[in-house]
Amino acid sequence: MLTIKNLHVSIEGKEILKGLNLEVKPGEIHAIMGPNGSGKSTTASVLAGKPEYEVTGGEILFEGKDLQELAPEERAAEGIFLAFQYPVEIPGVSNINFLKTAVNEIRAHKGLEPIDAKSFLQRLKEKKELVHFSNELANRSLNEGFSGGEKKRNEIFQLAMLEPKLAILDETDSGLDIDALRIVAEGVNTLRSNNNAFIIITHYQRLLEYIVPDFVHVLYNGRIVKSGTKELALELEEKGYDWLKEEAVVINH
Amino acid sequence: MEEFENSKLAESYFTDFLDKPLQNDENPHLLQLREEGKLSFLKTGIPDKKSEEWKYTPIRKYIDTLPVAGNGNLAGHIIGNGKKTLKPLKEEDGITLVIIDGQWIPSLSSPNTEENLEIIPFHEAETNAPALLGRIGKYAAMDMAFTALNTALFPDGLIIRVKENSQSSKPLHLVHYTLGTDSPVQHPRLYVDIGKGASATLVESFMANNGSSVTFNNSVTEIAVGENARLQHYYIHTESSSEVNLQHAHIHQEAGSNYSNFNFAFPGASLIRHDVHVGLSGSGAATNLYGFSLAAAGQLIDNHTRIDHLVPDCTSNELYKTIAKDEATVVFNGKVIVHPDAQRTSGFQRNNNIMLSDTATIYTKPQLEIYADDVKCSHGATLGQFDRDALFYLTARGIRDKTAKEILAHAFVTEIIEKIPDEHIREYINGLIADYFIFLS
Repeated sequence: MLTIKNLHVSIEGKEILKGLNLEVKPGEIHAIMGPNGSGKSTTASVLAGKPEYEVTGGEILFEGKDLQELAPEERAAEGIFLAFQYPVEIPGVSNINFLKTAVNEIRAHKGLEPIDAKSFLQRLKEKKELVHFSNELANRSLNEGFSGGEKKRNEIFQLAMLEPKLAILDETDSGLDIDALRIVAEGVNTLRSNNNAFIIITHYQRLLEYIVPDFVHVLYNGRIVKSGTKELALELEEKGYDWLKEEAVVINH
Repeated sequence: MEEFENSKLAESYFTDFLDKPLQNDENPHLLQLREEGKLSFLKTGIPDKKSEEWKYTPIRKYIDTLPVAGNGNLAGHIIGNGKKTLKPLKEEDGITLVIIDGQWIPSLSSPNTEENLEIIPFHEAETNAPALLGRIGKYAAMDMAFTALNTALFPDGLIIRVKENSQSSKPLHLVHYTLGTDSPVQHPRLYVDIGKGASATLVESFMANNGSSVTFNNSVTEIAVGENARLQHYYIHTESSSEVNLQHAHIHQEAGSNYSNFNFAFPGASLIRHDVHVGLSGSGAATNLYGFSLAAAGQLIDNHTRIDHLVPDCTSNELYKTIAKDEATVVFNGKVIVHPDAQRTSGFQRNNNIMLSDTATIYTKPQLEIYADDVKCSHGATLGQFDRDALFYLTARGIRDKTAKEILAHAFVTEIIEKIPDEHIREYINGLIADYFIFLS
């Protein structure tokens, strides 16, 4: 589904990703962990097409298509979804209208008619329950005045509404209390299938107790320095990242 | 040389009258007023760039493009467009007065079904409403060149009066067409009197004349809002590109009164200039000035507001927003003067601007003069583009860049739309906004 080959990415002339490789197949959940500044959020942003990031080398293929050729909205329409680490508040834009517009623009991209009101409302109802979203929250302006947890739940709500093929969760667990974390994890577990894939970017192992990954990768200094299964996450929790930094130095030399 | 000749000719619309006797009015008050207007205009002349109030609006440039004669009778052309254009609001939503070149055309207008509403042309006022006729000119600031000019030259004007303690249930909708029938330069005049305790809604739409030669509209409106009276006043601009529209409103507010002005300008008119002057003259009066402009092509939209807090305990609240694209220019000058007696004044002002092109220009100038010591005043102005993070957030959900900008533009204007109390007018404005926002990018 997703193939990242020797990816180099800079922002404002500073190289952040220095040869990233990753292969994600349908049905898989990949966790990317790593210390601050290792390039985790850059990876998420560059996949979604954030304009400030410049790809200086390598390639990203999504279902065989070169992602660099696609604008953010085209990537979304092709099935890529980024759950933002810091969802943006947009006063004056209703959550529901925003979702309806997004659903319909993605449908238009696929040559489909706009969704009929009944199906949309049905889907809305179903997905609201999934993330324990009240009508009051759903009807408010987009993220306006939402608590940290509400914003993150809104990201998962949008994820559920848009049904992407590949979802990237950028530190969705940060700032969540245990109840919100459970809701988010439950949502993801309900949505996962053999046809979609998730990349979960996180600092901590905590979320991975609820969403069990197939693979865990450690990102350090712009590269994946170690990959393994869910046990690797536990090991990281125990030992921290320092021992990997030393290993990375060895690899680099 | 030819250009020079043209500009001389164009200027004659503004100077010819100076050495001729004025229209001999039936009424001595009006005649005296015209003399005053003439004298004032003699002093000021046509303002140029040296005048602080016209620094960014080169009015002579617009005058120079005026044709040598009127357009003749185009009324048929406008009427041919059908009733829909003539009456933009639904019949049941308001009483529509069609006004062509400042003249009320009763045959094209709705009948006045409101008992408490009087519509009186000046020429009838001498017998029907002499007291009101005597008040014309009372609130107009004659030191403003174009107000003085209008005062010297207005033909028959219109008095609108809402009787004391009455609720005018339907909005009164003035639908203005500037056709430049006799002359490309027109000087419409209005006097609005909202009686003590009364409540009313006045909508003024400036419609496209679809003409090819330039017209120059120079309106003056005086509004008196009586004790504890309320007036909602709307300006809606959808003129065509050959139109220049100067609007001077002088509003006088008595104690406990409430005046709200909503000013919407859309792409079209080459120049829209508003001077909205509010005098808060009775304690407890409140004024709200809201505006939204979408300026496009080579348009110039200039809003000059002035609020005089003359007595204690009044409130003023001002919010103007702009989206400028293409080569458009937008000017906002918001003057608030808190006079020495006006203790416990609350005055808020904000001006937010979004530029969608590198070639658009925005001038914004808050001007607070405070001579009282116990006041709460604030002002703020912003200038920028659509928020990049917000744009990325929307596009990352599959929303095309163009749609995302439309969404953000709607969000930007929502703050003003929400303040429109009348549901039908809100719907009408929302419709206009949706139509114009299609061409945002």
